[in-house]
Amino acid sequence: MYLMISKYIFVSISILLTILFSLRTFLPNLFKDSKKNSPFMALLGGLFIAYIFFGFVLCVLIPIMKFKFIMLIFTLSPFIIGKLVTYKKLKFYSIFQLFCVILSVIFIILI
Amino acid sequence: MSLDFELIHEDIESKGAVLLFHGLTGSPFELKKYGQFLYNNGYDVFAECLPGHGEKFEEIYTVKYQDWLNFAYSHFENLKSKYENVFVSGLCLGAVLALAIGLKYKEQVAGIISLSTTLYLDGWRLPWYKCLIPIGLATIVRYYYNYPECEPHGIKNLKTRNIVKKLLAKGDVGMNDFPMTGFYELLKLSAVVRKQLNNFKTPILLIHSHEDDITSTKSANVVYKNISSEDKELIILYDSYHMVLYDNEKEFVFNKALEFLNSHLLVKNEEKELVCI
Repeated sequence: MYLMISKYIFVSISILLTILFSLRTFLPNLFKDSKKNSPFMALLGGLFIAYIFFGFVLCVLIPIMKFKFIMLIFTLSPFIIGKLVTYKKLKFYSIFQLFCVILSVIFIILI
Repeated sequence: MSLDFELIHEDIESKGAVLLFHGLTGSPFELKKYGQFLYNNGYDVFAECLPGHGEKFEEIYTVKYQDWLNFAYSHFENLKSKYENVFVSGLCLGAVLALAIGLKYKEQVAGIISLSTTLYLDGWRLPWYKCLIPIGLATIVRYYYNYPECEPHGIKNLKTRNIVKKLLAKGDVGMNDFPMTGFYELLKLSAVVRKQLNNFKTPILLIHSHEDDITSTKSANVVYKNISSEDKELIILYDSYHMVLYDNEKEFVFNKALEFLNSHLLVKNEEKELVCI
């Protein structure tokens, strides 16, 4: 039961994260004014933290070892990408991050 | 418009050189009055814009803390080749860079004056979820998020705050936003310095405000308790915020800094005389 609840929460967070992060990545002109941008990005940051937190929860709750490992990679992807990203390749890494989040949702739904 | 400055005595011999570093998103403008005061009291003063704080805002996104360190080291080495007594002083990020110089050049640097040292982001202005900020900074979000400059701008004195607010709005004296990439690099630099504090043996004066809105007194206390310097002093201010060089107690800070510089020059000169004898 805990696994199911965690899955629902994780998928909801990930979908919201994908939508908001896509908006920020592909429509940057909407966010030129940093004073308007700030609360939006604070929310996005919060969603990333929630994504990481529930990712870890799922790592614990998923029973099969190899699935735990795959989930751990998805959970740590924001930190790994955060380490690799540079200003020049920001778009590329943003798309890669989106891809990881979408893949993790598909993975969680399938297992 | 460059805000860098060098105040060099042409007519008389100066007592020594003071290398100043400004804070994150700031500019040498914030050191101008302090620098002028030290110059008027016989010191040559040098302050230059840190890497990433130039005319283009985008530069802050590409700068790494190693760039700040290299900049600080090269400027110190340059001054050391010309002056016997070289002091280093800085505010916020500049204070952390001053500590880094003290760590690397412990034999060469005459003294460090560290103002509002920022080792942790835990001041009262930061939101309640500040403990989560380092996690957010470690993700890609830091490249998209600029925290807008807001009240009280690190200044308790209302009159000064309004003047700085107007100048910031024009973009003449520093950045109007805090880019999170800058904070990320500052925290990385702070972690590097924190790990080596027990090797710090240089004379140091730490000045920190009890009501600092960006970083609490924890930063100054950590430095004070962990360094190995025998000659160390920590002064806590009670009527200022983060920008101690512009706030209610600025004269007190200037005078304490000058007192520190003069007292450490004397020690050096006495040592020189003893060597001669």
